[in-house]
Amino acid sequence: MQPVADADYFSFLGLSRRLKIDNAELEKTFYSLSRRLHPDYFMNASEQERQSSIDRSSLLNDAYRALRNPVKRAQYLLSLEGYKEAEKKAPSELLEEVFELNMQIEEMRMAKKMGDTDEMAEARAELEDALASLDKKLNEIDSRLFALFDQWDESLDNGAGAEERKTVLDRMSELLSHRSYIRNLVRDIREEVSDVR
Amino acid sequence: MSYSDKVLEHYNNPRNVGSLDKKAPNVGTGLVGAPECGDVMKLQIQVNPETNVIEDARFKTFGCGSAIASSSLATEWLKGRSVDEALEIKNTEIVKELNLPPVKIHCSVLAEDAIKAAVRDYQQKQSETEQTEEAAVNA
Ligand code: FES
Repeated sequence: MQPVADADYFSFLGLSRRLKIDNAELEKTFYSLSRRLHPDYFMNASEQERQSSIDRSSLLNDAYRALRNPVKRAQYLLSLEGYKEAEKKAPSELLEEVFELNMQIEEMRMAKKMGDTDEMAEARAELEDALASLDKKLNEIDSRLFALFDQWDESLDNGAGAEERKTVLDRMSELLSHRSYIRNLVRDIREEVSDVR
Repeated sequence: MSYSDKVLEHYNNPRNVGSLDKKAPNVGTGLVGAPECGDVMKLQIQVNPETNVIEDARFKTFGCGSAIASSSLATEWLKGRSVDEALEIKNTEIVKELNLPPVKIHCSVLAEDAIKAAVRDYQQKQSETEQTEEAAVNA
């Protein structure tokens, strides 16, 4: 096994950096490695070996958590390839939309506070509409994201040049940043409309 | 995590919350966001076109306390500065003034970006009006 410090999650689990992962396979790998790193096996080992097995099992857990979820996996790949999420600028229409919906959430909160039931019903209806369209958007983003997963894997398989791979990663990074705005918004709206007080 | 007194002060008592007429030729609007947390910040400046001095500044931020405090502070600093001086405001100054911890640095970056975006918007509007004025003169 390689030293813990410079192992990335993919190589630690013996995987290439492909994005399409069979979750059942991944789970199997995870369990078999977990078993091998179980503290019981290291009862009579040296202090150093014991420590290293502990380090490896915590790395294993992190790796599994990061790679099991497709969005997290893509985020992790981007970070490995030197991307920072925050660097991506969102298009202004998206920001406008996020801003407007936050205004509506605020109106809803205000109406709740004032106990204005008419306002509340109106605000709630608007937010619920918004929620439906955001959910749709999220689905669209996800299917585009998965199409990019395929493109990425292909680019690995046919040894595409750095240029081509970068195009795929750029698009992925952009989509993930949009996704994250929408996810946060969906979370906030949901919280607001589900809370019936 | 606890906020510094200065952050709390701006948070509880934000300065210059609100909006200016987005369509006015002497108003610049910057709308920026941080994807990690989904926070958005709108910052507007109203400029005297004769002197290039910022006469008024407003903000509306949906985000964490540090982002609110950073934008509130930014509007205070902007008033009375020239547009060029506005561009010199650095997020590190905001971090220092508000005592922001490392995990909250991106919130101050948001404020710096918003200032830049607002100034850019204003300058673009100015050059457009100049062009139409020139066209009118040449017509
Ligand atoms: S945590 Fe999002 S701007 Fe501060």
